Amino acid sequence: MIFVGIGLALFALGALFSRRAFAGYAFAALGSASVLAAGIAGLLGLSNGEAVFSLGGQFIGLGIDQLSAEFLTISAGVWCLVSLFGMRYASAFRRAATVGFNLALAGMALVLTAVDALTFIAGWEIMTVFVFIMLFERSPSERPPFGFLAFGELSTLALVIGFAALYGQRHGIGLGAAGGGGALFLVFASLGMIIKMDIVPFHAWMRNVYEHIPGHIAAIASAAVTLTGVYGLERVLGMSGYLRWWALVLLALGAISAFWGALQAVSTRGLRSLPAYSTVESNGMILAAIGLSTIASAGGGESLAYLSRFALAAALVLAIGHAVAKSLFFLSIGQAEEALQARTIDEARGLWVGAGKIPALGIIVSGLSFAAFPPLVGYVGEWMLLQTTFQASEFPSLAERFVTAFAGVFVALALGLMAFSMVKFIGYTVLGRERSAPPQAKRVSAWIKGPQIALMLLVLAAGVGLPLLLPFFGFGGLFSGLLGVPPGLLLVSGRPVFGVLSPTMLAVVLIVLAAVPVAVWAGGRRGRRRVKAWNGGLDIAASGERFTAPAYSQILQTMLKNVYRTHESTEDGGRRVATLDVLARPFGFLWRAFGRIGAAFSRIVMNGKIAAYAAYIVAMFVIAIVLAALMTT
Amino acid sequence: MRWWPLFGISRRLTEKRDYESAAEVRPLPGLFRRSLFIYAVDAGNSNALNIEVAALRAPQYNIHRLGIFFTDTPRHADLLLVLGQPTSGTIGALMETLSQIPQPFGIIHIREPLAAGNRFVDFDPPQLLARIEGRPEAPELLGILLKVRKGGAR
Amino acid sequence: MNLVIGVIGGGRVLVQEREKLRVGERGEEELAPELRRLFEARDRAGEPGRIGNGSSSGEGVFDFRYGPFTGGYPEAGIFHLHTYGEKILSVEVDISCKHRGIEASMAGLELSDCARASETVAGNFGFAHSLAFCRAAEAALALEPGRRAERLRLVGLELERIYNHLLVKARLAQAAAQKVLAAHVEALFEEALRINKLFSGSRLLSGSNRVGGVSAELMGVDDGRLRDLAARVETLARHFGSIYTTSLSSRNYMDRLHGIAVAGAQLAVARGLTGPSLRAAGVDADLRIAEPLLAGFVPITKDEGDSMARMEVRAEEILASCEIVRGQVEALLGGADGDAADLRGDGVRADGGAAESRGAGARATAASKAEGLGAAESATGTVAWWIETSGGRVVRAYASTPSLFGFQVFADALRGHIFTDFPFALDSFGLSFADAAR
Repeated sequence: MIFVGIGLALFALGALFSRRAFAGYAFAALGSASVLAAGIAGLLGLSNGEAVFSLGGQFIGLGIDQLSAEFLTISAGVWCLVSLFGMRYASAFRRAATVGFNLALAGMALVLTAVDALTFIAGWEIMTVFVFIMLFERSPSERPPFGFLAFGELSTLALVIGFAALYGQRHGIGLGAAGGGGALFLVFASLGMIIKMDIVPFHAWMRNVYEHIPGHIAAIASAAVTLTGVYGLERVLGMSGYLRWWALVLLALGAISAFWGALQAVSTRGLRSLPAYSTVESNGMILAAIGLSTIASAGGGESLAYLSRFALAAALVLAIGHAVAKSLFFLSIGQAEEALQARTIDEARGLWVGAGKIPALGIIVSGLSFAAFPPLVGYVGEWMLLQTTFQASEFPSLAERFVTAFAGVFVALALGLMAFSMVKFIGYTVLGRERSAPPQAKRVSAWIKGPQIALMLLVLAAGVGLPLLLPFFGFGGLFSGLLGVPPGLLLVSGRPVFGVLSPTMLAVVLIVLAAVPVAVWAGGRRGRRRVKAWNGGLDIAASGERFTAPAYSQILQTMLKNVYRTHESTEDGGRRVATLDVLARPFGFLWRAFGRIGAAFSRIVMNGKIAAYAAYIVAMFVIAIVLAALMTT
Repeated sequence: MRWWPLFGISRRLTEKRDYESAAEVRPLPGLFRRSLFIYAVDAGNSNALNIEVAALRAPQYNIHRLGIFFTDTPRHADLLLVLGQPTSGTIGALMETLSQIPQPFGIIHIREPLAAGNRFVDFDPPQLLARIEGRPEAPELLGILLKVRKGGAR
Repeated sequence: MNLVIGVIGGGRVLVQEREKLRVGERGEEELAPELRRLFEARDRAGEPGRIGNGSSSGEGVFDFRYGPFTGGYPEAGIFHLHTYGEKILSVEVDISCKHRGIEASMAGLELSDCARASETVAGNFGFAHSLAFCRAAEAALALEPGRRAERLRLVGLELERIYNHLLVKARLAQAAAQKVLAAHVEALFEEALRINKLFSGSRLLSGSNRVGGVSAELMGVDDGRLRDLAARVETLARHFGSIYTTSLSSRNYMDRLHGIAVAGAQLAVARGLTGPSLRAAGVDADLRIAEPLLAGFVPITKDEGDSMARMEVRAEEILASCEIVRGQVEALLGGADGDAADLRGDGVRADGGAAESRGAGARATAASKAEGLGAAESATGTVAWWIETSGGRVVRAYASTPSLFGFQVFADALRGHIFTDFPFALDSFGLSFADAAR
């Protein structure tokens, strides 16, 4: 626990000394390292302490248990690497962003270690507000970040209702005790959590906001913030009883989110909006895994109990994979964007040469992880999720089997569409040859390159080293051995044996099989020469003849015309294809409706006349007194 | 409705004859003897040579049984068949094509003797196996290609 | 209905009215701007200019360049297809690769050498080109070939039409992956080339036309060969008829052609399009109507102007041409031409008097300077040569080729289609870059 306290203090110092970004982010890195130590200590069982004080009969404060330790480890690892990246990268940005960074991390630390609802909400709000302040950095006008704040406050509202219901049920606000949470608490609290996880349709704010924010802030907003939502959801579900219809709703929402995120990722062409939709997809899959785990745990029997643990492990692996790979993705894009001054995928062509090998490799590794390329961690997590859906035949009732089957269909579609989107991204940015090397090759700071390399290794290690990773996180007992695979290296998805996977052995086999092509490639240098791309015998004109990223997506946009509402729009005399995210449109209407109501209200009430203002004051006074009187009776 | 396989076989279209050519063709070392992949390029002929090459795909010749294949890309080619003397408009693309064909490859250049015009340029690559003056008809063209496939002959 | 198919300078244009071609005075000022641009591009065919409908711009719009060396199209030419994905927004065609400067190189050459050279404008339309050139020279020199030569010329023209139409059909079938149909039609195509060799000694009928008649070899074709020719042409017609009828029942194949690249009558006439593509749009313009030896010739027309209509017109023209060949061979065998007075052996009448001249624009016969206009209905449309001669040599030559207008109409008609429609649009017009660029 002491490490958490040290971490919080370091975050405060970071906010204080934020005039120089180097110092501010250095403090953030140290604070994250301290929190990471706390998490690891918690996982190793070294300290499970609490730091609480009593307030009106309730215990308020911080503490670490197994669930907290898991998420502290993952989150703080990501915070640390992003902070190291920011030490040099963020030197051009405003002081407010550094302050926001530190305090947002502090808020997240509070959320992850809270033992009571008040601390939880306090941390939640701190996190939301300071991430909101960070999002102001480089946004073109004041409107876009308000979407994030609106949804953040919506989630807080749901949490408040949920916790109030908890208090009403149990007359206590502690988050540790299991059972007895009540249906109202379960529904509203988990609703608040999934709003934070950017589940469809609460993802409406993402498209406009993500376009304009720097890389490290995007990494925090997508990877770290949604991770707290996952933590909160698991905590809430652990606390309350099993509500069958709600578990099915969560499962369905997760699967639809995964599908919708991947679907929209196919049609986006911005360097930031594609990974934003990938966040929606990944969180949808995490939610589906958690839902499946809840359903399985309510059924009886040994195999369902194993399945429930397996599904929970799937959620954890997906969460780790998303946190690490998404941060890497955004950090690499951030570095590449600064080097190339690019906003869209087409503008970022030739990243390998134009921005450097490290961000290019970062995009390749994280993109492949999202595209479920073995043996990376994204592949392992998605395999585990699909294996869980395959075993739906063990669920006791028809409704559960039915919903699980459809969830499996949507998740599989999501995997295919996300692979398409990642191929589009990687292919057009990294592998596209457009530029020659920049004339002045600036030396990029090690603080920028180091975290990306570390994250790349983590993406690879989390997949290949799964037999070490899962027991470390408390999910031992899922491994065994079979035929040529030594015991402890084979992940088993069901008891009795259903499906097995050994990412470690897969990596070994891939390396061995790759030996021959690599030898041929390395040895045959004599007979090889480099030629230009062939297009009818003439050089491909530098601009104007290259296949563009929007054209690559056009075939899916044409096939799924009704879902995308694909239409041609002529603006500035040019013709382009536009698509819509139909699930985000209702919030557009609400947005405009609120704007109009607010404008009307301000016109009517605050019209500059003294008499109206006095009447307004008197009316508020009267209403407050009446409400107070009602509440005390 | 007729049964197409029987109909086709009963037409007995594929002819059984040897295809001769008097042209002198240098050998192409390193070639696989059972198949020859050809990339045909129209460099500036009057379209007559294109017609003869198109006629080679007819069932009467049935060139696949002789191991002769036409490819759509230079990267799969053993032999570059240049039809016509290159013009100033095609010489650039033709030289780029030469650089895109994997080694070892050969070139057969067919030149129309009566080609009129004032925009032709010289073309003298080192990989030339034979330069044919005239408009070889399809059987003679096939004879030339078979000579290349069998390793050149005088 | 006036089709402007050439601008020969000095305000004069070549105008086709249904079945007659003439030189029109002061027609240049009244040209529509698109047509004027087309003729300017034609005159500068050596430069990488583009005919078509301009480029497009927008987010994600790029130029899909197809050419000059492609696997799908045998000739060297560049197609610029502007698109943002599936849909083709605008099309530009660059014909400059195949420009060889044939007309310019004719200046100062003897007429007979130019007749051979005119064949090399487009080898597969070689007979039509040389026929048109020879008719232009004959108009300038006021020569009239004998009847036997005229009949042999008609037979040659129809044989050229047959094998070109068969090639178009085979390419359309290949594009639709109708491999059996394509193989059978390619077999017929090869058979048509062999019939050509039987008739004229050359598979592509080259060297068959001379100024004043036909070549000696062609003139001396004996009755046995003619009977053989007629029999083989009849067999070809029978085979093609049955295969064509069967192909019409393939819904897949018809669906690929139906509604593609609609070139309506108004667009076609405005752009100077001639030949089967124009007849498929409902306009019954055909130079063969004016042939005196083709009595009762009725051009084949369809209404819709799409690729299917063009394919149908060509298929029915194959059958019609086979019938014409059969009829002309019958007349040749019947010996009704009575050319016993023919002494020179190449079809020119020995008396060489002031005979009626062919074509318009003929000037005084004995003067050293003369102009002549000659035309022939090739497989793709009207081929016209207008020459200025002096002392038996060409001073200036102008060739109006049908593929130039065909490419312009193709570009206009392909807009709005998707990429998979490209081969069906292109091959149905039966165009040639060599023909368009000369």
